[in-house]
Amino acid sequence: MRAERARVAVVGAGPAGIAAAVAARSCGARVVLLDDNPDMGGQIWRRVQDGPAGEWRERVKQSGAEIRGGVTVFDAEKVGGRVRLRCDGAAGASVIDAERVVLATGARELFLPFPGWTLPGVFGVGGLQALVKNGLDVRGKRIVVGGTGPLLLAVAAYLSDRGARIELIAEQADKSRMLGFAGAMIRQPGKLLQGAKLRASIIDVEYRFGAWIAEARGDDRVRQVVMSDGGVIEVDAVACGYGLVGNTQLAQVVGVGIGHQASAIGERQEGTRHLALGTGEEQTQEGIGHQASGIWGRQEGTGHLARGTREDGRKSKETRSADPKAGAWRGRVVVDDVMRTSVEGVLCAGEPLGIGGVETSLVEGTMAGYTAAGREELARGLIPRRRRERAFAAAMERTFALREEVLRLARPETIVCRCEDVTMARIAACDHWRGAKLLTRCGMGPCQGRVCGAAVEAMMGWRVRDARPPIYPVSMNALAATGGAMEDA
Amino acid sequence: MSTKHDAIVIGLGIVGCACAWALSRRGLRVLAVGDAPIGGGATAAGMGHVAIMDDSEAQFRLTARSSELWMALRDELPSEAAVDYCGTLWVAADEEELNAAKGKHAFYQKRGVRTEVLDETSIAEAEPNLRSGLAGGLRIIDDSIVYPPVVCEWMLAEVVRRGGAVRFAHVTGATRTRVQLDGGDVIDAGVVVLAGGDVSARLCAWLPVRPRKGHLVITDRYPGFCRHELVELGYLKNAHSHAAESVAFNLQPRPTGQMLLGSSRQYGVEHEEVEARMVAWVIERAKLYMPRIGSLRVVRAWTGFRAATPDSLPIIGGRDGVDEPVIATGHEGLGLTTSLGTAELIAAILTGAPTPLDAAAYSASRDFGGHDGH
Amino acid sequence: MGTETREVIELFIDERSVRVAPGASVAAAVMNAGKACRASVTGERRAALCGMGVCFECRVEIDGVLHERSCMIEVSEGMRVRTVDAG
Repeated sequence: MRAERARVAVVGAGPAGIAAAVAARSCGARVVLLDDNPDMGGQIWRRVQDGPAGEWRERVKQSGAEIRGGVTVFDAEKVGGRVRLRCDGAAGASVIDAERVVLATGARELFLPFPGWTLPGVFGVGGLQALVKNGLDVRGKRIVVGGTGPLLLAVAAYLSDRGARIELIAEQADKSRMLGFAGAMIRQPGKLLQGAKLRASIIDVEYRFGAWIAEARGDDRVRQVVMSDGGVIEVDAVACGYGLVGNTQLAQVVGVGIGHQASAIGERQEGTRHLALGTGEEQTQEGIGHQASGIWGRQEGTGHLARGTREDGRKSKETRSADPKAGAWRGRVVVDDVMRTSVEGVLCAGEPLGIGGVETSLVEGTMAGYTAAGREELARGLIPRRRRERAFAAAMERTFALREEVLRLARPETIVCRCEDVTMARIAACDHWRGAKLLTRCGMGPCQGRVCGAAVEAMMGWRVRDARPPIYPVSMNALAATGGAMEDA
Repeated sequence: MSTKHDAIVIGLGIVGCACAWALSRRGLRVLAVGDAPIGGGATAAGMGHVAIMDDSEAQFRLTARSSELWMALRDELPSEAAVDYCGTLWVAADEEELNAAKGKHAFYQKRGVRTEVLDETSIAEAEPNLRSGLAGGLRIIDDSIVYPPVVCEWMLAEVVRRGGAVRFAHVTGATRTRVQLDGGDVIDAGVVVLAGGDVSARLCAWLPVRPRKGHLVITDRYPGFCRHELVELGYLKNAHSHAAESVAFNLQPRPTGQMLLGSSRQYGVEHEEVEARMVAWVIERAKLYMPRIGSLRVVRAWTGFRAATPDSLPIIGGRDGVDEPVIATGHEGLGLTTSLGTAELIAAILTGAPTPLDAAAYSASRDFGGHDGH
Repeated sequence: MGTETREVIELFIDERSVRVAPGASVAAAVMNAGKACRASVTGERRAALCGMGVCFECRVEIDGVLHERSCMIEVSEGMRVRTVDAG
């Protein structure tokens, strides 16, 4: 097994990680840049070689950072003042003890269960794009793209360029919200232009607002979708995703403070070195499982276990947050104004701080790289830019806030946990995430709740934050090799 | 609040649930109270085996009686309880351990427990993924595995169905007839039973119960990789040793096809974090017995705290003349197994219902002196 | 990283020869061949969902190793892949 030391290790080679590596290298620090994909670029720059993606790829290659693809970091732990990363990959298990670690772990898609979503041929939006970039053939395929966010348009255009027939783009947000968003875009002309260009390439496709995919039907694969207005469309594939969720698992296992912020992070955080950010912000470690949970508690003396009455138990504080503006509970890594987390030596940038997009990730990655290399003053110089980017991201988040209806698409028999095939009915009979895990096995499969946990957070308002090492399935051999057995006890 | 409960059981783990269930079956109106969720402590963290053990006569009697009770209950439990009579296979690495296995076989035979001695060839046939060259083993035919949280939920549903109740609350104080809750509520009952596992000493300070941390890992699905619950005979040395840390090979095939691997024992560790070195140690130990296990993929690792006593026997019953709850704790790694026997004994003590068990061996008044573990 | 010099890669999906462009993911090769990936625990056929290694729906057996995420692995010459649709 390989064991080494590094000044700065960056986990994730998307925009934030690449920018962090470049910035840290520019200050002379030795940098190792890790990603579990074979190639760098993250999800957004997957196989993109031109434009800013190409420029940043070139920049990081020239920077002298050591770039390692195909490496999965499955654990991070403070050991002797350093941060120990435990890794596995095609080249075998390895351990990296870094003085500073930048978590640039990006985001995944939020999938909201609907009847038929488990059929082959139903993909995420980013998911289908990633698969096509990696060789999936969509020529002549009839596809409905649905969900929410600017990704719908971008992916529809991409798929169309690759020969797919886009039947419809269904955006759940209402058009009135979009108009407000256009106003925000005008303040960011670069982004507006990008949007317009995308729009032109699929000019004939209907882009329907306030519409969503209500059901997928098929046999051995998807054949039809039923839209929210009842319309039925024949399809060969479906791309459906409801925005992004930051990956905070590695942050959780290293003990970083996770909070909840429903809106503009940069503004409230400005100028404070403190991590507690006021309203809407909750720091970590609350005992989810230890609060009196509604219905069982109220059972006393009633003499029977009426599952039906759990419905109103769900309205208690622990459970449901129905106001879409407030947002479902989504854990976000908390950082100070130069990207330091609550754990000494651990920094974080980009999507785990709240979905911000490429520009935000580049700024925050650069800031994290500077801070990690000991040049905090350079990071401070970027604070105003970060604030602008985060304000834009917040506007975007408001625009594409999820409507109640898309959180209610699953029927009682709809599978929510795809690893363990746990239905909505079984999960809805529980009071909280941990109880649901114990009683139904939801979230107990190899995805470790990355799919169903995020869905359940959105649908039920539960808090799902129970990452433990290994944060990805890894071989016993890798755990044994990197655990250090007894010698460093 | 007036006394509307015949009994209050503190603790929603398998022992507390079983006691509440057994008492309600005997006609008592029971309130089960404790921190949520149901079966969320050591019960959820444990391996969920029902094993007849022979470390001592007292341990044998409790585990054997409990095993009978589990057998009687199997058809009543919901299918999600995932009862599986896979049997235990004690693995003997060398002749010395095989001789120990033969000794155990004689012990079990004399007491009517179905066991079978395996030689080098037959253990290789029984478990092809064990390394070659092992001396043999001992199969305990009627040992089984269960998924405990579902059993807990089922038991409490039965309690509620019989007029009892469940309350999620943090208990801050308890006497023989009264429970005080976080927030100030006080509830009276005919009797209070404390089944708080490793944290029981919080409410009853004299209890010689210490948390003993364990690590477990579970793999993705590899149906058939092993067929019995496998335990190294060296396990006994580890389980009995009061050394600060030890590991032993213990692999269980879950009905899902997943492999559940343990086990480690640690005293003096209070935090529940998964420790990479302990996980590594558990795996290294397993690889000595099953080299091919190294390529299996682990999907999760977790920890839990067993309630360990100085003499490795649970504490069941009340102390005369002391205004404290009746005790049901200290089951260490056998809480799931012995929960039913414990519950039967508690019911016998409180209601005079019959039991073949002799309460004296597990008495709260027994001498724990000189066995403080270090 | 990982690019091959060959123009076409031949691999075997459920014992049938399949030719794909180098750099393609196993998931793409499997689905281009009209196949799904795995059987769910209740026996449903499943194929890739997230395309980025998160959802584990695209698990297949590759060269005898179970539960590989096919979207995260590039095809290689002579690779043997087994899916839910194997005979």
